Amino acid sequence: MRAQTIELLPSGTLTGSGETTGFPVKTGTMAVVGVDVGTEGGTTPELTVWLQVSDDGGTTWYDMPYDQAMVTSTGDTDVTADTDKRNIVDEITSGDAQHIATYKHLPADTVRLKWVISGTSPTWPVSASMVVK
Amino acid sequence: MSVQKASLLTTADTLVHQGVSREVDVSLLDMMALHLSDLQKLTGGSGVRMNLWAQGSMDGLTWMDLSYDLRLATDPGDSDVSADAGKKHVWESAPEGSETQAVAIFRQMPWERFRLRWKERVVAGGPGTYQATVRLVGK
Repeated sequence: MRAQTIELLPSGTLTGSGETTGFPVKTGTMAVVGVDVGTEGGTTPELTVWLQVSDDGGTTWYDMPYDQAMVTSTGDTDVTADTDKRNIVDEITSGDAQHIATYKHLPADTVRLKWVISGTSPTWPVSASMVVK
Repeated sequence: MSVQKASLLTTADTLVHQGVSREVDVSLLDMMALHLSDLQKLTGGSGVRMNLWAQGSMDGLTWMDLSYDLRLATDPGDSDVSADAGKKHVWESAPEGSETQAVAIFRQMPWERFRLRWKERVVAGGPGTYQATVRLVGK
């Protein structure tokens, strides 16, 4: 199957918790999600991002575990072995990094990206895309 | 392959003692996930637990316990999740009912038929009754 790129979250600044709309992946069997995080703003900002899947077209959502995740920052390249295997962006307090998660299997009909932001007047420049095939 | 879905358990099913769910034909699936929600213990003391796991069959007569490849559970009131260290039980009810939702992924499906099996483990204060909504999603 030919790879399909889905723009989950166009480049913009997030200021509060939320989620994207649902994207259909009825025939895709594997995926990689990339989340590009810029320089944060505000006081004690924190950001967590993860993938959710649905089996009923977007009514009920479930957190999706990834198989592998990696964080690439401007100063270093780091591979994380996160035990919970959910958060693509895992409670970060500073940005300027690319976060990538691989999903070797994608048994779902719809996906979306969900995020939680905390802090005082937090701002997080974020863009995210997904490649499915 | 297009997505295939099936309901194995609903909130209309009350789980007691031990039993099995509806069977599903999975002969065309390469992989699948179980989506579990509404997980809760309805009655029973702190010493009762319900274990729920998957079984596969080639002929619909002989069933084998299956291990999942990846599992993620969500706790109520907390955005945190944990990956289960075990590989058999897609749900182990805790006395405090700490999980409300979970996903279990099975990477290969060399089976003709699929079902869930449950068995209660009573230490004290049992038996109990339990509820779970489980849907199968495969491709």
